[in-house]
Amino acid sequence: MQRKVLVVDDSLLLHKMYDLALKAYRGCDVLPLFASDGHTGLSRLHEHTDISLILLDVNMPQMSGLEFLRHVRAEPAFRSIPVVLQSTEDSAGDIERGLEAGAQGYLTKPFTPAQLHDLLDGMLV
Amino acid sequence: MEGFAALFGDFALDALERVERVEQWLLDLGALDGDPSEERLLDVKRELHTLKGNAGMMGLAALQQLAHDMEDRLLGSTDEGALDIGGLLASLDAFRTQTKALLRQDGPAPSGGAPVAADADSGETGHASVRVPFAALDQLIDVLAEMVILRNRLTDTVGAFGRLDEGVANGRREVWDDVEQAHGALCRTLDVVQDHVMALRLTPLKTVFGSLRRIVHDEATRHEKTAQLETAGGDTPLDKALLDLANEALGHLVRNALVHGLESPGAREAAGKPRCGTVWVSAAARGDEVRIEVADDGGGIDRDQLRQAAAARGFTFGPDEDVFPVLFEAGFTTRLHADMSAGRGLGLAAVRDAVRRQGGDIEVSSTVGAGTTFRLRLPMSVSIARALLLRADDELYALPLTSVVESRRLRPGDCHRVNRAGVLRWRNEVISLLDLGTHFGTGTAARDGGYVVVVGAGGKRRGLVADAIHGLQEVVVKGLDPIVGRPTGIAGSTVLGDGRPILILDPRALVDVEPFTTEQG
Repeated sequence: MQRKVLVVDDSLLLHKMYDLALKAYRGCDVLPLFASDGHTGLSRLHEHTDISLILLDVNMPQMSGLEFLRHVRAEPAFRSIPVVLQSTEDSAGDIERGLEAGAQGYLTKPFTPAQLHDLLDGMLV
Repeated sequence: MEGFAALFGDFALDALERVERVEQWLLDLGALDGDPSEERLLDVKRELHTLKGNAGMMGLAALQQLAHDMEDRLLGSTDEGALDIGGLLASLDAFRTQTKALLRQDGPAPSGGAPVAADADSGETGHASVRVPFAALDQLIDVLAEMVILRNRLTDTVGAFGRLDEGVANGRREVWDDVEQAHGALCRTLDVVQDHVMALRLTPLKTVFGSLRRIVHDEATRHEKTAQLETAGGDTPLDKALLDLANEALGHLVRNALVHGLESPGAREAAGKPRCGTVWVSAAARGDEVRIEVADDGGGIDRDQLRQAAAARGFTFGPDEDVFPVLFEAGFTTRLHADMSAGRGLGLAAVRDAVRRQGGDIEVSSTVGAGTTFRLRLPMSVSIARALLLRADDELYALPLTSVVESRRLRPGDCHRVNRAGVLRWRNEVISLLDLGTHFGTGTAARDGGYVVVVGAGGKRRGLVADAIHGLQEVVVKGLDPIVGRPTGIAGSTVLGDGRPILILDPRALVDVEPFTTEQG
């Protein structure tokens, strides 16, 4: 079964990286969806009601990742979608706050495709 | 899977853009009147953080470390209140240099694979866009150029066939009408395609302005001056192919203004000027041209002193002749600017040569005490130009239409000889003639019949004499084979509809050709 994964990240480079890594995932068929900011991310969630996982960048201008997460958790329809935070390894504070705000997992930059795949194994399969 | 190595080209482009942004923000923070706002500092911090993270994702440890050090330096300096802009800029340069070096090793990487699904409603503008490497655009333009040549060939054939009544009578009239109609429609469509494709290559000039601010900052520091850069018209579009030239030329002119134009703060104060000097760079589009002015409010150039300096070096000018152009003479500039640190950019002479080779021109004017202004003109886009085809001694030449003032028949009585050079009385002026045949060595005697085409460039006029005018044509400008060298008066080459290669004339060089050395008749 195809699983939709929403990537919310302001960097188009990261979109490409996720695209490459998600399409190489063998655990299940993944359809990546992308949003460059929190507002677009929220409208993606409204367009696609069957999103299985959100990969969320903490460090975004305008709406920060944590703010986006709060919006998602406040909406009953989205509340159960697992969210994985992505941040740099020295941003432990962000990650803690994120997990408190309801994120299920975190991924620190730099990560390799294999590390992302391990994480998907736990979240999607 | 071996990580994200395949995305190196994308990483490099993204990183170079971020470096550029951070550079501008740092210059903002360091500017005299700049308010080191918390917000800007956060912006810089976020970009450095992203650079570090992305370099890490790519497994580029050295770049990651560089970004990390910059971040540290930024955080350290904010605690102490002093921002080490110079140090951060130097680190940014190192980051940029290393990224570009890696990019070169990696070959033409940024073409990448298929672009990632475009995020239609991302970005602040809300417009969907894709990033296309310039190499791909160049290929498209090459194909388009071939199409223009084929179209010209078809136009020739349709025209020739149409003139043969017999041809039309033997064929069927209505079939021929269809051919002509289709040909007309094809021409119009191709014009539209051409406009659109050329527009894709246009890049706003502000991408160049950024590096100018850096030059102002660096040179002001080096020469202990205070200076600010004012820019206007950053949205003016310019062909990507000319952007590098504009970058080099403007860089040189701004550096020049800082080093030679602006006085020291003390001298400015003594002259009743603000201590901080200003360099203005403003651009505007005029028709198919882009005009860029680089002006400073420095000491200006004394006309009489310049005249004396020029005379001392063997350049002579008439009493009414403008002496400022001597600044662009090769022998003159090098000596005038001997105090400039070696290897920095082009000399003014080289700037003018480079600008003229692309069909542009540069002028200078100055007022003592008030400052100096350089005026640069560049064609907005290159590659395809409208040209008049001239024939002299069975050779065809393409003359860019932008330089043509008038063309007319040359009657034997019109042409006079002054000191062996031909001259023509034209609109109450006497203009000197240049015979294309004798200039390019296809004939030995200057003709006194045929056609004369009056061209204007850099305020000068010249009458080009040829046997015949073969009409207007759109020509695809190509370079000359290096084997041919760079003969005076030739800007490039093109291929006609029938496959014949011909030379494109360079009016700016031709107006300057000494009449006596070319007319040996």
